[in-house]
Amino acid sequence: MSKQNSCGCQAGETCEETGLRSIVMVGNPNVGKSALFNRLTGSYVTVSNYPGTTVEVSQGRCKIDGEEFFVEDTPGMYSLLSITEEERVSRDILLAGKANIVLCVVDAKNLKRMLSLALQLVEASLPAILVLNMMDEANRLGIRIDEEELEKKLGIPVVGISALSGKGVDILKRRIQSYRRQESTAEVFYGDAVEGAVNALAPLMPADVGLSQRALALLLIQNDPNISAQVRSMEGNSPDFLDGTIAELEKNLAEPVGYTVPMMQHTTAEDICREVFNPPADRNLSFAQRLSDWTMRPLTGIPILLIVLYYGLYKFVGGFGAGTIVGFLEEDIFGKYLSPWINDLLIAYVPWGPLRELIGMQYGIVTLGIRYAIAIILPIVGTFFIAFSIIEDTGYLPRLAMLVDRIFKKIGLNGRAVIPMTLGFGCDTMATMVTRTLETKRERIIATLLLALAIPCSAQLGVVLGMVANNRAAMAVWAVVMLGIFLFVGFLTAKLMPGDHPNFYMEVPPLRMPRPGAVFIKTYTRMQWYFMEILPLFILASVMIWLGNITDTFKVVVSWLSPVMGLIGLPKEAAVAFLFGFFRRDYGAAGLYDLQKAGALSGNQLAVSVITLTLFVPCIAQFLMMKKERGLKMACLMALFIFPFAFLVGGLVNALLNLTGIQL
Amino acid sequence: MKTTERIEEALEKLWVRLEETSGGDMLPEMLDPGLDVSLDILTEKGFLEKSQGRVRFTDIGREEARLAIRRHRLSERLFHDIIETNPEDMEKAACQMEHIVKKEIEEEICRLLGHPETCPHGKPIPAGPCCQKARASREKFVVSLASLKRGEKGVIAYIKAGDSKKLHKLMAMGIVPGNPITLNNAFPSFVFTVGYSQYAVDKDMAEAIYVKRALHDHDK
Repeated sequence: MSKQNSCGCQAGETCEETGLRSIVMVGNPNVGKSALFNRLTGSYVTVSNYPGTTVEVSQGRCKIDGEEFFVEDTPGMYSLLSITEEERVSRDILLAGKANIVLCVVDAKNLKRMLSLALQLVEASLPAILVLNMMDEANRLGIRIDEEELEKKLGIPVVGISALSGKGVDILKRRIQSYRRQESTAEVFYGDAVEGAVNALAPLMPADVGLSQRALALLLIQNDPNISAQVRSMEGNSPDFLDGTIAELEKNLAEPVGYTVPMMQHTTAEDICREVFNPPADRNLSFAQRLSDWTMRPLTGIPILLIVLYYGLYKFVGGFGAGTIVGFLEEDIFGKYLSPWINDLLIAYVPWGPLRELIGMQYGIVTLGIRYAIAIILPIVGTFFIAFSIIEDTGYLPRLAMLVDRIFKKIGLNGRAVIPMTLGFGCDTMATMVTRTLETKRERIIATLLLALAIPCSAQLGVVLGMVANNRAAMAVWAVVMLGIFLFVGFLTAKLMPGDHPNFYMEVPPLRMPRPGAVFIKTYTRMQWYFMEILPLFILASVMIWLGNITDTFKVVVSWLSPVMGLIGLPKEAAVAFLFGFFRRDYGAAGLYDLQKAGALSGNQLAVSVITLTLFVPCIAQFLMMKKERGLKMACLMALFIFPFAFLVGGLVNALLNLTGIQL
Repeated sequence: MKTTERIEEALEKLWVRLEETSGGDMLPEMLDPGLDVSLDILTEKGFLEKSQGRVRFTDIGREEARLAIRRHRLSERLFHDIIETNPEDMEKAACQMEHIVKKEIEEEICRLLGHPETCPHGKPIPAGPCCQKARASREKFVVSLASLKRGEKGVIAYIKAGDSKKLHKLMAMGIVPGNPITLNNAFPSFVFTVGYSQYAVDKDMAEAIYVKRALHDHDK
């Protein structure tokens, strides 16, 4: 995870910390900013920008003709006037004023509507270069753009490129290196009333930040809360004068300022486009567009979703990842060769028993920690991330979001939340981090709770599916109970928590064929993040268990848990698995997996144990992330709710099965 | 300004104060300032009555005021949505236009505009008989995106300014008046195309987008 750069340099100077000129990239979501970032820096981070994947600012270095540049990629923004957290982050980076060059990346075919952001940057006196990305896609549609004329009109360099194929990137690099501020740049005329107010307010704005005083005054009259607070807190500014000027302006305008200002920016953008943007004569419906329509209609969209789930999740992750690869690594590599070899070595060379136990034997670092991590968890999580990256790169997720929006509204969320929720099936910790892309605090809390409670991560899911694979009835009970809990708890939380009803709005990018390279890099980055996070915890868990074992604490805790196991109808041995579950959800699941393979669980016990374990406490990493994102109090409250709730539901399901005499 | 026009202007102001911001009657001292015609003259003409020291509309007065405000706000909408004049001109033009609009023309304008419920400033337009008829038969020219048929095309007329956050979100995504729009899908969410981009929004958002419908063949 990259931290925000702490170096606070002034505009026009080079970054003091690194001594390099810095490039900041901004633009609407889905314009291929990350792809360009990777082209420039050469080291991929994540290629597409669905909410979440680049919510953290990516940073890198770029070498042009021997000169090294510091490159920063920001989350997607539509306007300098920020609404979402992500937009605020991007705006604050520009406001900090450490950029020597700002690349305003737009989707060439949608220049008309993205040009208004470029105009805002120009007005803010930022050292901007307009990058027309996806030029190849635009040309294929028959669109022609007069780059030279556009350059004259804006007063900033304009470069057409294709970040995916790399075409035009060399020209862009040259323009970056030779960048000089131009004398006259474009300005939007907002009408006498607005101009009057802006001219009166501009001198009161802070002068030593990245945005011009005119741009700040424009944000102020549009009632941007952050700018407003900042300006009001400045010494010598009388709030009465600010309020008075704004009130006077509102009175002189027929429309709210928040409408007039963006409207004039769009009108100016359109006027410019009328001369430089030549649209094609007509458009034909391609197969991709037809397929895209099918994904968004319930009648065809739901079967498509089921196909995606069946092949993507069940067959590929469950069958191939959790079945074939785990079977090979676990049984063949570790079971037949590695573990016996280690154990033999230990017996031969390590005379002290406890040390043997620490490294090998039943709960050792290698035979338990590393075995779980590499042989069971890694293949499952890996295949999930491959599937998720492919699905993400096709642009399917926004389509899924619009399909489920109505249902998600019932549980206090909106369609947008489908992205963290789906990612949760991969890694709940990562997904909890991504909940910050949701707009309201209420949504973020509900999503965090549901992730912690009812969304099994891929590792857990893989193990659970492996366990119930031969017992379809138990699988059905598990699936129905989980879905029921998800909807029930979501519905209840939404009812209990007051707050605005979130609106759903999303741009739906065209369906694209995923590129193997991009999918590979993305999967690799996520795997790396995941592995760095879990491996130490797995080893730590092994050490803790080893400590617990040799000091007998472990036995005591298991003996406390055993009666609880009895209450929900599980064998005592399951207590060990639940104890492991504290360290990692999947760790616990893997423990149960061992138990089930030994034939120690009946059908009913199987169902009860997988339900309880899926609901059971989030793993340590997820809990820490919950604490980081939602605060300690909220994280503890959630854990305190989830812990008894998991056993309660397990007990209820057990009682219900016994009462009705059903044997799964 | 002619006397009748001054009376209409005064009635409109009284409508806003009496019917929209208070419970129907007010003290005369509160009402008097800024009126083109004095309260006494309006009372004499039978538009106002006094009871217990407070002023209120007579039935005739209320109806006259309602019609005057309706004509004014419809005129604003006409200049704003169809003729697309700038805000200052819109106000001036609307002020002149409202006094010369005959009943039949008023209905024509109302139909053309799709029987709008609010003026460009967001204030309610009192409904006429044509609006009630239209609501029964569902005939409209400018309608919300949510009531278009799947596959129907139009041009974005305006975005309801009731919720400025919603307005800003839509405008920031490039959903701006004057752009052609096509509704691709209406269930489970609204999917539409503007320019070369496709968007998905919920019903709430779709209802804030008003679209000038492309005329059908039988309408030509």
